[in-house]
Amino acid sequence: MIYLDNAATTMRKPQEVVDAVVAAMGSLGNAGRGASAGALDAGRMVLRCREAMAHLLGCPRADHVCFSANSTCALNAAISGLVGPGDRVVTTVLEHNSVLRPLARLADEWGAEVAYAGCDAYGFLDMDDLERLATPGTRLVAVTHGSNVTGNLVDVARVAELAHAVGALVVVDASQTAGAVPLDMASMGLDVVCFTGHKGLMGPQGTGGMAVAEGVEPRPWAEGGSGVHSFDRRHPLGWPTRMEAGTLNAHGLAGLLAAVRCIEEGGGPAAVGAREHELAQRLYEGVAGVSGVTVYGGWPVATGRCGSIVALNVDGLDSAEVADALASGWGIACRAGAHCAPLMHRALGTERRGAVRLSCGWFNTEEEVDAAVDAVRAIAAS
Amino acid sequence: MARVRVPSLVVTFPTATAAMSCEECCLRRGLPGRMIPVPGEVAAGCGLAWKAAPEAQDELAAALAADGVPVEGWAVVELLEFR
Repeated sequence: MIYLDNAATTMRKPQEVVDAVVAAMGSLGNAGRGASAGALDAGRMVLRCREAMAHLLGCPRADHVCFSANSTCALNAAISGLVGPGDRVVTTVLEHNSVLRPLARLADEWGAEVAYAGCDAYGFLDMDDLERLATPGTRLVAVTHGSNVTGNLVDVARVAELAHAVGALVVVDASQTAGAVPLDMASMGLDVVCFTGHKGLMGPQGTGGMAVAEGVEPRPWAEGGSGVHSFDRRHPLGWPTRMEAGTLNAHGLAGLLAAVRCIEEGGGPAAVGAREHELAQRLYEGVAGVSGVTVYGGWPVATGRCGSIVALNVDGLDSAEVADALASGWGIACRAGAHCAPLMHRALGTERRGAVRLSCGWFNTEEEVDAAVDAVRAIAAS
Repeated sequence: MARVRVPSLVVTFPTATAAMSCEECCLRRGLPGRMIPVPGEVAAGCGLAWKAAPEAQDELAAALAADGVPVEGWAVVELLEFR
């Protein structure tokens, strides 16, 4: 199989990640639950994982890295924990449903006012539109760091400037970029960064979380087991416990820790992302200009602001048909459809047939990319 | 083997993460002590605490403060040991 669906999950993991999970499953107790040797080993490992993620994301405090099952959980917790009844929120058409749906719920149930900044013809965020919509009194700006449809990157530092200028907090969805695009919360002025462990970070599924700037205090989204203050009626508000009800996925976090170490040893997110981007650029250049192939995203105008995704369609074919042809004819794994990003597809005019998303990862090769180019060419010529 | 009660310093924390940070801090600095379940006479419920000799309090407090490890409380209680 040629695996080009790394934006969905990095199916191929470093062997160190696999080994770490297996070892953890045979040795770790419940982190923060008692003082047995296994529980303390789990607690030590989780602390090291917090420190590693804090370093990777530029979060000054490791105890402000709160783990969850994935980015969707983290985004729900951050958004629901920071927005109150009647608050105004600005987001963008680039967002995944993990941002759009929590906001829709807050609009429906709490009367939150949600505005959506648009994009240009290449799918880049219209920063002027966002600035216009972020009016004084806006509570929150929720924005992706990279579109999961096109791979286009967002200047989140600039978004933070605009948000803070009107007194708003900024929540960044780094699902597509953590581990593959450098992020520095402190210097970029980001209030919350939500990440998932199983994509660019190359860790296990079921891992993710949020990094929260000091002074930003979301309400606990879930309440329950905390390992401390059992007789308190409500969930404790200390960090990171306030955002971590219940047993952590220590086995998965052991894998995530190994993954972060692999990324650091590979030169860090900048180096990993550069390699993935290089492969995606090769893919783009191979399919661009092929008769009958339409490529979406910023590749034609701003290569440096694209991630590692090439989204395309073939004239006369539904995206699902193309993906199926790639899988059945060439053994190429990719993702068709709407990618849980309805507003992005609406903006690109691909609402009905979706798009074929080919996404490169650390373990792909030039030969695999060239095989994918040949396959797309063959389908387009058929 | 006999049960004895020995005066011990017990440091409690607002979160398990803070407790683990205390352990990391002490191991790095070579400070004595170990992690124990929070004794019931110190705090009801569950949680982790750092146990050390009472005379270690000043040095421990300085180290935790320097590393920014949040502490909930300090107590000296008689804890069970087997000798």
